[in-house]
Amino acid sequence: MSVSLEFREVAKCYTASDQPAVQDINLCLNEGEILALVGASGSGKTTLLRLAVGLETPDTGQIILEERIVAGPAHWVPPEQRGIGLVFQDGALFPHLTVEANITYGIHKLSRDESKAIAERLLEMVGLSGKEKRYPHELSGGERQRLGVVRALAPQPRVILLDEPFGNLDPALRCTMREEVRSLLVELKTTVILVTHDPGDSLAIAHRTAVLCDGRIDQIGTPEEIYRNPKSEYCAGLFGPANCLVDNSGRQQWVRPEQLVVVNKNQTDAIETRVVSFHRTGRHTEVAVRPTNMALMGDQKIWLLYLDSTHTVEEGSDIWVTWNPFRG
Amino acid sequence: MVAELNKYLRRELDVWSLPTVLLGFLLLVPLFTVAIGLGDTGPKWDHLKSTVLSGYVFNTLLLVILVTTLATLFAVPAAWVISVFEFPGHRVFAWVLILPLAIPTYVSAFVYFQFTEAAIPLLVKIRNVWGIEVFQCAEIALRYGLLTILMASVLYPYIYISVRASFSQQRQRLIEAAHTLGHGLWSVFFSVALPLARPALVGGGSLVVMEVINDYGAVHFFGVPTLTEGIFRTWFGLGDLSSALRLAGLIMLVVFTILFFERAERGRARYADPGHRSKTRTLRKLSGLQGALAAGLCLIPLTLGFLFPTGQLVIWAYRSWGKVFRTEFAMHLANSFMLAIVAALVLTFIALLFSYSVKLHPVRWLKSVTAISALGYSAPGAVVAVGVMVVIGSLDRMIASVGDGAFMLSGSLLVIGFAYCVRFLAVSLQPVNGGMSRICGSLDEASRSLGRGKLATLWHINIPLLRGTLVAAFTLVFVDILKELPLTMILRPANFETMATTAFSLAKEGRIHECAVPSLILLAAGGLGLVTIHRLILTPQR
Amino acid sequence: MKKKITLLVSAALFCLSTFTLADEITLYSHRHYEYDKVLFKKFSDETGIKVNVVKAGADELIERLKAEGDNSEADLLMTVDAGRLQRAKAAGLLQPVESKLLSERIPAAYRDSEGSWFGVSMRARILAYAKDRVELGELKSYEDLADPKWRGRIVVRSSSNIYNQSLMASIIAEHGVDDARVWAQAVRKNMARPPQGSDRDQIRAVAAGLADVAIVNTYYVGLLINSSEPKDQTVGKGTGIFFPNQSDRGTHVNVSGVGVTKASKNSEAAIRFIEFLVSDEAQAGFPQVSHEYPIVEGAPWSGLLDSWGEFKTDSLELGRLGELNAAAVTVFNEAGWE
Repeated sequence: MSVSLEFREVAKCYTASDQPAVQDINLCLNEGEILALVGASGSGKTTLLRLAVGLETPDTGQIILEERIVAGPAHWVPPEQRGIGLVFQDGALFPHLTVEANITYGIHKLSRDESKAIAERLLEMVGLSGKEKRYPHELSGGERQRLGVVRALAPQPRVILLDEPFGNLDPALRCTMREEVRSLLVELKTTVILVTHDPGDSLAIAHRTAVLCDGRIDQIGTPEEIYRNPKSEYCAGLFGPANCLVDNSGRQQWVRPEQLVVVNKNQTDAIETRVVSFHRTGRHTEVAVRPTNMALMGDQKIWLLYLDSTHTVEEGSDIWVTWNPFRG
Repeated sequence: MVAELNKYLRRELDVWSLPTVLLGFLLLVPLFTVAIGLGDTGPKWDHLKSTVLSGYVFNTLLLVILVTTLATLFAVPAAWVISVFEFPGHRVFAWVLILPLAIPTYVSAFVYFQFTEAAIPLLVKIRNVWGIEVFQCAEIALRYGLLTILMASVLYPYIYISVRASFSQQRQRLIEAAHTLGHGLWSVFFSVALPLARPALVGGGSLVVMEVINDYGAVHFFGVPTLTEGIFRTWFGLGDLSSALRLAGLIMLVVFTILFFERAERGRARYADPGHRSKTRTLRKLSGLQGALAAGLCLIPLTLGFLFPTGQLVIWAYRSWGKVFRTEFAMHLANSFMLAIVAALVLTFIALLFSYSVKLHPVRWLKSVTAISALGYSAPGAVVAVGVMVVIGSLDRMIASVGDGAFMLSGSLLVIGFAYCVRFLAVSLQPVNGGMSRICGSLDEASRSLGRGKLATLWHINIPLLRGTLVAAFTLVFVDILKELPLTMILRPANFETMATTAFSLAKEGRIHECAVPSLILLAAGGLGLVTIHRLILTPQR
Repeated sequence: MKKKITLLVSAALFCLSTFTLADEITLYSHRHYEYDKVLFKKFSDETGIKVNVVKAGADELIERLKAEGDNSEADLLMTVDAGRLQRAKAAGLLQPVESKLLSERIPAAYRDSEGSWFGVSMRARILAYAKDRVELGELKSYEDLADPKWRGRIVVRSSSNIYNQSLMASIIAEHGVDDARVWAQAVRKNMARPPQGSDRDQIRAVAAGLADVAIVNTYYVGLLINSSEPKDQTVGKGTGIFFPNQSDRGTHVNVSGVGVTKASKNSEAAIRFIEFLVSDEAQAGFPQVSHEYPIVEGAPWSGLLDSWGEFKTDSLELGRLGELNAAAVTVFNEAGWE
């Protein structure tokens, strides 16, 4: 599999005095790969996208697109010549153009008939057929988002970057959109970088996930790897709650709430904890506990675990827990 | 080192910045030429300081305070009743209230000046009854009062336009919230609507202040020497250019301060106004006495600023029509239009270029270049003219030293056009900048990522989205240039007359009645332009 | 877009064409009088020389001449006072020309001794008074206006006006700066209202009873009398005319004048133009149309001017007015004459 997009030692600083927005970025995307970029706000996700598209110039390092240096000390290819598609969080649809004109905007070099045919096909793929002559403000939120995606796909970019594409959608719509977009992208075999703050997005779509922290890549791997074996509290926290568990050698481990199970107090590795509070959600009960040996928690205040709703708990009662490693 | 430099240049420079910097520099040269003299104390500066300077400053400040206050009193209530109530004539008032902008201040001054004459018998009576001191006070009060009324009534639309836009953009929910909290309509006005409109008030008010400070015709007519008149007295009368330039510098300093203050207020406005257009507000219906009262609030400034002067001009024009109207008028009108259209096109284009290059490359120094090159608006027209003459004169000498001297810039229309650009860039730049900032940056980025370059993005995305703004900027400049006098007078080619110079020459000869015809033509052209703007700016867009 | 560009380019090209032809002269003029148009046309008809005119304030035109330097297209500068012609001469903008005809026809006091400028018509700064409120014996001289008996009875326009500046220059020339300042202060005190408006407005104020005496130029009275407005005619006819200082140096006079610019490439035609202005035909027109006095002795006056009678004029060389102009403005400022 050939390399599609590569960052080499890329750094970018917006103002001379500031902390760099991104630094030491080394990243390689294979053709057809979907990479999710996650990280807290301000961690440099969007900067990385803008660098890839060419909306920002890197201060140092190189960006290589299919063996061609598009940004580097002596090279510069402007965004319009890179052939990288970009999907915006707000859609960035041109308000003065119709749905069809929005799509054909990027394929103006083709003949009218050709571009029209492409627009027709793409609109059909995302269920927008028949709305060609509408204006963006006449579409629903989901339709706008889908239009944003197919508009970026129309010129058949080798790489497409999606910046929080589902950020503005309600949860139900989000799930369907995710699936639709994924199948579309896989079908077209496009290389993708997806910026998101929703672990659900990256788990559902991405082949790999890179975690950005303060402008650096903290951890990179499959979404499962990061979920199960986060390198740091920061990486762990991005994918939902995680409990800190300090083992005998003083090493910190990150354990998901569902890995903590209640056991008989006589079991050898049972840890004694006391219930601090609990909260019923229906299917299960979220229980906050504190181990008697507080040193086990490191800096954390509590552990979180899920109990089957058949269990009954009481505040202040003691329970014994242990943790199961993920299997498979 | 090379890499560092490369990095620095890449951050600070952009190809599109180049024409902006060059043009900005070109526009600044005349002002700079004038400003060079600012450092030296002229021979008469001490004399000015000990004699007339305080009077100039006092008159200027007094006039600024009086006119701005009265203009605010004209504009704000009218804007409020139009945004909140429905009353007889409501729709018509909404747009006719901006028409006084089409009347040059000097034309309105001709019309109002007759009152000073008409009041003479009354003044004589006052003197006979109460003595000379009372009479003199009354005479001064009358003159300042008339001057204030006439200036406020032609300048209030600057405030009206911006405040009304602010009122109509204020979110209905805020107003409703205030109502549910037990505030009545007037209380809402003072506690919510007015504070929210403050940046708009300051913005419009600062334009009024600048117009008052830079006015030359009306104040001269009414014998109120302000700083601007002081410049000419010092320069021509005393022959002391450096001191005159110092006065000009003083004015520009004041204006600069105002602009700074205005910008600060506008910065706050961004927080105050979330930028979402509200649903059209449901207007409260007023009828009977209240409706008449609301209509009256609109009718007062409209009458003083538009109906009365226009009516008077129509009467005069009717009387003098046969004497004044000549075929030459068509030529003068064509001249006016040609100059105004070409210059307005160029200025709109420059504003677009400046605004877009800053958008492409939003660094502070570039923003400053564009802001500073618009400073010509704050300098008196004649000062700009002299700067332009000096620059063009030396250019001609350069050309003559190379060529045979047959080709010259001086006395060509190009010079006037250039001077207009120096003077009026701010007028086109302000709306275009505003419009540009309302276009979300991601649209440009989307366009670029879809394979369109900077120029294509400007053409296919920014210009279509800016269309209304561009037409508005064009029209504002167009109207301003139609009215423009000092630059045109001084810089024009031989035998070249515009409507404004025709009107002014006739008035200067004392043929006030006869100047009504060209004045009316000016007014009609300006009025038409303003109506266009109104349709584009004040009526809500899709 | 293409259309716009073509439009701009063609407009620019049109603007750039300022070529002067041999049989044309260009005049920078401060005069806004209708009569000038008639005169210029007559000149063109007679000589075939076309007259191009740039009308603007004299001070601005002088600045323009300075800026344009040798490249200026102007051949002539025309102003409504001698002071500014003198200033233009001092700035090196005018060239001395010799014309026997001009030196013969124009009295020496009304032209530059070196031939840099020539007066072509004359006006006197006189006192217009209310016949019913001013006794004939009351009026004497400019100096007399400082007398407390005139308290609240005088109206005059602002000191920014060149006619007042020239009058003040003539007073400085006669009495020196200090006495002139005392005089100005006293006159200012005697004014009915702060200085404002035009000479015409001063006459109207007198007619309306606001004041008794106005300091104005002669032709303004003539213009009012011959106005198409009945109201103005009444004002003009009802006002008395008094030539001050007849018992000493004479009434202050000034001229409309013209000089050939240094940059002129067609000075011959320019001289011909000045000569035309002092021809019998042109001179006869000044009293008739613009109510100015002709500059040439023996040229016919109008009935109106005749009715005002002969008077003694201040023999001060008019070039001095320009030299003393700055001093005059200084005195006005110090005296508080706005």
